[in-house]
Amino acid sequence: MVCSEEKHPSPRRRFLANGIKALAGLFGLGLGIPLAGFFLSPALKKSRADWIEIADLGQLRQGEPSKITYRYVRKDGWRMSEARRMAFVVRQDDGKLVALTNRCTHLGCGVDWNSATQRFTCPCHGGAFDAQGRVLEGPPPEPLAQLAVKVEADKIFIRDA
Amino acid sequence: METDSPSGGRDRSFFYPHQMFFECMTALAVLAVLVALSFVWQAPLEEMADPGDVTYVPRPEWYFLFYFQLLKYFEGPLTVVGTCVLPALVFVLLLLLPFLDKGETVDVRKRPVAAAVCLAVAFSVAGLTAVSILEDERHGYRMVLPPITGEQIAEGQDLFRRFCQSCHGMDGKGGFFAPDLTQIGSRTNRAYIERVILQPQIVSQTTIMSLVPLSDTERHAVSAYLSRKK
Amino acid sequence: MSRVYKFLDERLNLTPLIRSIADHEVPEHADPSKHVSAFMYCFGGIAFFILLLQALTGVFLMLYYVPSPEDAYASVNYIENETAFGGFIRGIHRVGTTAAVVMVSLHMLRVVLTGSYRKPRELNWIAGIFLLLLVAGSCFTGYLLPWDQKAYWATTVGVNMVASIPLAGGFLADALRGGSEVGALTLVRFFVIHVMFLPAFLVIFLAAHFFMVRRQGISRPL
Repeated sequence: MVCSEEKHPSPRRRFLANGIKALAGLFGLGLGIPLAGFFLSPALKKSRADWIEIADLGQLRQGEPSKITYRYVRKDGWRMSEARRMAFVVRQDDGKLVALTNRCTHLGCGVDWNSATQRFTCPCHGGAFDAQGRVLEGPPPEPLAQLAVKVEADKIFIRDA
Repeated sequence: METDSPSGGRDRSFFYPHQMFFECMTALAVLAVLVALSFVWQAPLEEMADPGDVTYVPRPEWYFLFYFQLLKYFEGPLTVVGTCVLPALVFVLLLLLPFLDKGETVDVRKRPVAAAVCLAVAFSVAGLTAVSILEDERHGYRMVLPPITGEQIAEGQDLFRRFCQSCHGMDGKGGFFAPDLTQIGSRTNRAYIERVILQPQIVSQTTIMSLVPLSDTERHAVSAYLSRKK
Repeated sequence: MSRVYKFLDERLNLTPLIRSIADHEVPEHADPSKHVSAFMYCFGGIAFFILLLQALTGVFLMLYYVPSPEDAYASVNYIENETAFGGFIRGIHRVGTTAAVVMVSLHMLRVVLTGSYRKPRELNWIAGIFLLLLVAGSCFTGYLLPWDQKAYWATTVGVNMVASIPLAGGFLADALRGGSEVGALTLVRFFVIHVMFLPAFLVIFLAAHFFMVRRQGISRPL
């Protein structure tokens, strides 16, 4: 069957064809927006981090970063899961405390403090950072990430910045 | 498919765009109706499943109610009639319908087999569904309980003193004939308490508890009072 | 757009295929622009559309749903209360079951009233009966998934009905439950039956259904 109106569609045909496009568009919006929002909602939701107590002030080592392992409760979808994390707390020259994550800024391997060389070294690609987290050598593009720190009644609290 | 419509050309309808336009419109309308209905009938999410709670009265979705009701009429060794035999018969009958309802005419009045099957199925499904809903209504299974208020609890306590205390004792401490109700709220839920007041025999066939003449609001008050006794 | 079409058409020769679908003529009695009574002929199409909608919303619900007794309820609760449009999508999926049952019933009623199942369309009627059972099965298996009180107890009763079948009933019920009680295995089974087995059969039977409609044409009331 070949449609004779193909080349010169009648007004009715053109109206209906445009109508289909409009209706399909409405339909796509009506269903597409909710479905996309549903899919994306965990990414769009802002989670507010809480202060976590990690150590006493007295536990800090003098002169070099102290490795502190702490537990924290993470809201993981519909469940609360307890996880372990590591951070380094170091006292700056001016006396302020800085907390660094142990995640290398290159590809996320765990860095460790090497007291012999006085630097953080990454086991993966040879990245190195100084005690303040600044890049010394290797591929890392930026300094180690800092966490917000506060001290209350001689207890150290940190929070994801 | 050829059409016997004499008008060719302009008046003929094709799948695209004519039919498709109507289909798009219908689809959009159906979606709109579904969305509207989903706001009217919020999808329920009750308490989490508790395999230990034997007081819960399950009811299937409305379109299975007729089947559920059918089962009530067959007891003991006859159970199988309700669960399998009748449904299997209906299933076979439906499968065979095209071979039973032959002939040319479309007029339903001249098609006894089709009309009989159609009416029998439709009436029994509708009838059983209706009976099921009515029975549940009478036995209080479909009650929508109003939220508990302080006033309600006070009224319930008052009613309890007037009607229940003679058997169940002061504050429901229990008596010679009737059980202790002081922790009833932790043992069972409010809907079950309501059903016991409506139909004391569901606790035990030999109970001597009598039907207490309470209005619906009064019964809700008593159940509110009792369900808070934990 | 037309360039993309031209590219594909030159290689795949799409035009005859598209023309045969697009220029398929609608019989006058089923054309809503000519007879109001043609609305009767759209119940089947609406039922199909609702099934598509169920598939779409169902796939999206699976993004969050976990079929285990520990997580099922909490994940549904999460969908309902903590995701954007979660209640909306679950609502459509839930109301869609009712709508599918209603539309399938109306479609069957129309077929009976117009005697459309007569020769040569008997096989399509039979395919339709199986589609009805598949839809009912989807409704039943989906009911357990939220793992709330209603779900648990309705499924307990439903599977016990199977147990009353003579001889094989007990075994069938155990097979369905994956044990003697509704539990973790039942939930996973029902989930997989709901999202894989039944949809697969639905696709097969729907394809057969449509193939036969296309081969035999829409029946004409006499």
